Amino acid sequence: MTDRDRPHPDAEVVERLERDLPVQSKGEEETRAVYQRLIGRIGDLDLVEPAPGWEDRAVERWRREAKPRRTAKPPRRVPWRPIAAVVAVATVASLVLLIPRCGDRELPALQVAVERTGPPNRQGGPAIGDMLRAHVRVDGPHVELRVYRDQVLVARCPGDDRCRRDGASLSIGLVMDGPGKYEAIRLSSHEPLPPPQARGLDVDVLTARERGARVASEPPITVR
Amino acid sequence: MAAPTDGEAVDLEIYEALRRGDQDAAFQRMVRQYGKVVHTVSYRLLKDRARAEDVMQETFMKAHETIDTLHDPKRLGAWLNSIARNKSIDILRAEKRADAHRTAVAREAVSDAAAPALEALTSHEERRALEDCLDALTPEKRDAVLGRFFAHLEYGELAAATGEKADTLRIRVGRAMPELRECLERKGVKL
Repeated sequence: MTDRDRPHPDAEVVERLERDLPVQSKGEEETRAVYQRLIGRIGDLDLVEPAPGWEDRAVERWRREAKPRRTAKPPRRVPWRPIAAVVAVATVASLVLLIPRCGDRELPALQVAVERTGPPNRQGGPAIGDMLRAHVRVDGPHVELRVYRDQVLVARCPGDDRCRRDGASLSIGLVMDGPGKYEAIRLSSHEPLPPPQARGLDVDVLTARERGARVASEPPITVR
Repeated sequence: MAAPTDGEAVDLEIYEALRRGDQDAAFQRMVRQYGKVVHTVSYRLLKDRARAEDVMQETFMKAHETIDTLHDPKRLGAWLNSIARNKSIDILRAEKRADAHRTAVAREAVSDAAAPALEALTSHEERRALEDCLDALTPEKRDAVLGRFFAHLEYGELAAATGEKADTLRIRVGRAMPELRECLERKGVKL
């Protein structure tokens, strides 16, 4: 294999980043940060605006040339009777199983939402200044809510001034004051939780799991 | 299940409007919301504003016509980008001149890269450098990088158009990004 054919050492780091694999070393963390910035710059490339009047031209052409809407494939004939029988049995079984538990409907373990404070970014997604709101259910002796930005811890509940405790719920409202990937996680355990470490989210999650903690997460929120 | 992000909520709203609402208003909203991005996705492949606008118009017409076939309404924006990208690639394939032209552009850009690094580049210069370095990639690598990071397509969505495997595209992106980084650093861009 010649040097030309051999992949650059960073190629593997980019692949690992794209596969959402945990960081393996400090060096990888630094290299990832470079590529995350590069990815951000590609996403922020200038939009190339069409010539003035483009919106009207698009709508006029559609009005002129629109074809009848194509619908999804029509459903095949359905054997209703056997399905109805199965549904009836399943419904009875679910009622039997669920009725005794109606009283203890629980909050979700972790809920994350974005509260918009201004216009969305160019892709219609969250923008700098928007508020991340996260809630976790507190149902054990040791429950924490942590928020990370680009793998770095930015808030931890309980402990942060912005945290609120309301009955069985612990929540935080956090202004996303810069671009990056914001991730909220919930940690819970019967034992004291390991404190966060300087090496970031992935290491914290692994450490917590190794100590028997349960970790709940939601997809990250990317602010551009 | 995660609550939809703001971008996904917009996608959902427009999707529902296109399926059930006032068609004229829904179509106009879709055009306003996604027009510039869809145009840019096409322009970055075709390098021709007139044809990119044509692709943008056809993308919206096809989307309206086939909206019922969209499996994940929260990915409406990405779906539109994917349609525009596929139409643009079809045009490039049909013309056959694309590769030769792009290779020539790439060679020019590579020779530019030998120029001494600049100090204190402005953000405009940095963007220009990024555009040049993207042009210096092979068409396949450039398409994969832009599809992934500008059009925000998942690897599965990228693969659907080309018939390639998602893993192949992920490896291609992995190889393209260090080239892009080195090209930018030669031009004096700090990452």
